[in-house]
Amino acid sequence: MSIKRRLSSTGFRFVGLYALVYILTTLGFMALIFSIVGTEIEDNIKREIKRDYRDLVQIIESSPDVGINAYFSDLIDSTDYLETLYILKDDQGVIIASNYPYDTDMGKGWVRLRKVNETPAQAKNPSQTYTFMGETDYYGKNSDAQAYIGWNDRIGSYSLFVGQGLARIDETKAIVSRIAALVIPISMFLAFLGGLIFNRMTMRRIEVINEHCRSIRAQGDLSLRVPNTQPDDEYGLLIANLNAMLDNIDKGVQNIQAVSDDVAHDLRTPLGRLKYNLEAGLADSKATTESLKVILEDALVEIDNLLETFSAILRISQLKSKKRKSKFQNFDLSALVDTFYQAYGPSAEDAGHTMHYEASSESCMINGDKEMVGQLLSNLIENALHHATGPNHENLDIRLALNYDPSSVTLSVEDNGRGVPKENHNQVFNKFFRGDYDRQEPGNGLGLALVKAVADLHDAQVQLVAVNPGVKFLVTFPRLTSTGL
Amino acid sequence: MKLLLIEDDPQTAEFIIKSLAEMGHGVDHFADGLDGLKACLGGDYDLILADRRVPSMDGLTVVKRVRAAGLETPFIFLTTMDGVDDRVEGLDAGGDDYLVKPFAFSELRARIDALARRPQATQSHLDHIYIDDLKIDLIKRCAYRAGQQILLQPREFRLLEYLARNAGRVATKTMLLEHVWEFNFDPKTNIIETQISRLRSKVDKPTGPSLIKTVRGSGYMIDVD
Repeated sequence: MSIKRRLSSTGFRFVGLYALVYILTTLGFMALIFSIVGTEIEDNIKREIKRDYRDLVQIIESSPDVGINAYFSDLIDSTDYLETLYILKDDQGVIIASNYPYDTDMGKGWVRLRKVNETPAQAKNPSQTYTFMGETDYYGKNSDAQAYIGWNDRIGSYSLFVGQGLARIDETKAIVSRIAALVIPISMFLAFLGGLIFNRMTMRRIEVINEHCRSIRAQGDLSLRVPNTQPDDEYGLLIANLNAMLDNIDKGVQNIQAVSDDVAHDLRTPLGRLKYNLEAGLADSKATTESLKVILEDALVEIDNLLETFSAILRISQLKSKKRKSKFQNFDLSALVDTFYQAYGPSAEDAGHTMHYEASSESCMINGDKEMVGQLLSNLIENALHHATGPNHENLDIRLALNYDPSSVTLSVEDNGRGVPKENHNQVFNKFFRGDYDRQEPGNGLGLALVKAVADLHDAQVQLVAVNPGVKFLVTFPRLTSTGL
Repeated sequence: MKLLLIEDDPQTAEFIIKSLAEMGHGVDHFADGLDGLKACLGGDYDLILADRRVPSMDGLTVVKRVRAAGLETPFIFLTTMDGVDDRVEGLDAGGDDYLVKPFAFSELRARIDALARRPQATQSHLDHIYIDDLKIDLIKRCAYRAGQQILLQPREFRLLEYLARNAGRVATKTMLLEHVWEFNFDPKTNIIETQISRLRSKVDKPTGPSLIKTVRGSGYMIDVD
């Protein structure tokens, strides 16, 4: 795969996006840690100051004035002045003891002292912020960032300030930053590597699909399928769908092939017969108007049969291509059977047969193509009427019935006619199959093939059961549950 | 009547024009869909016959354009496309009838007759139809001959109703199958013959003068002599 293609691939874009999101999340996370560290440590410092302050208040309140002075001098001497500041003043505001070199006027409460190059007038909050004017290096180093916080209050005739440096916060933040500077690049590298590996893995599977699609296209071999090694994940499902689609296309193409074969073989024979008869009529020197009329009438019958066969072939192929599923609707099968019973019953009676159907009061909804199911019914009834009758079957008995199951409904069309020989049971649904008996009768051998095609379209099972005498055709449709209505 | 025919096969067109002329109709013929459409929109025709597959514009588009222009002219498709879907498509697009080639001319004639006078035939607000001494109550859905009620099955009533609404015009077997039974295929069993004979025995036999007539080679018709 070329670099350019790799860069423009979905996988690469995914990795890029993943890294970006990762960086943004990490930066946000660091900012959060920074702010939490700042406030937490400052709170700790304030608690320490308060504790310290409480101890000093007790000492001041329980000691004589002279003792206080000495105590603070010792305290200041023993204190690292970078850590803690003490400013003790008398009631006149005169400094008694201090390790802070400047005299500042502070109010009661929390006070911040910072060393910045600004005058008190420039400070945003003069009552809270005290600055060392021009003295940027008092502690012998660049203490631009040195800042203190402290508590100031009056205790009896004294005023005491106790403060601590905030340098700890910055130190901790610096440590966090150093860790981040080390960890972020490493984890980013790992994330990127992970993304690339993931990308390669998925890309490889997509490449397999592409490769197979290419070869199917190039070779035109619709029987090729994409191998599905992990059928359960998304790619597996994609491959399964692709393969199912190929199955459908393959079936469709085979169907078209079958139709052209059918047309070639089974329409050519009657066409040949027609041609032969017409030629014979023309060549007959003794032909009379009457004899020619007979030939023409025969030809017309033959043409009508041809047209009918042709329509049936097309209809079967249309059904097999499953194009008609768009016409599916919910309808009452028992009402449809009743319509056909009413339509065919009288004709059957007039021909000396009987027909039975006990209409159920219960409706029986199925999902399907009403017109095609009608065609199926009519073909089964006509099959019984025209093919079950032999010389000894003047009074045929045809029984229509619907048998309900919770999940399915079975239509049965039963006759007591001459039946179908056992060896032909598997063949009757084949296109152009005709029993020995049928060959002397009109028909194209497509009626039951159409029944099978309609049943297949509806995911219905067709069965031929021998009864004595006669046959029973069973068509089992999946039934709509009440929730499906 | 003045008819318009859109058909690209010269022999089929010639056969149809000749037969329609014998019926006394004048026919304008176009072999091209677009020319046909222009003629439809410009001319004052009583009925349009069109093939579905014709050059430059197919019949389906022609009927859609004709309907879009607000013309209600009856429109019959004459076509080799005989799938059930094709027929539904044709009727949905605005066609009034759909005849699959090859058809018997008697079939075409019956359908032209049925459509030409349709406004009167499909008067849905009719309460009763009277033909001679036959009275059909379309509200109560029952029929009387010479004052006597005729007991009819629901399907027999629909058959009688269809014939009566088209009284004086031939209804072919296919038309009856389509409109009364809603069967769009051709059964090999003599369903119609049997049902007509049963209807006849109920409607005609008791009183004498036969109203339901067989038109040889075409179909059936209710008419007073």
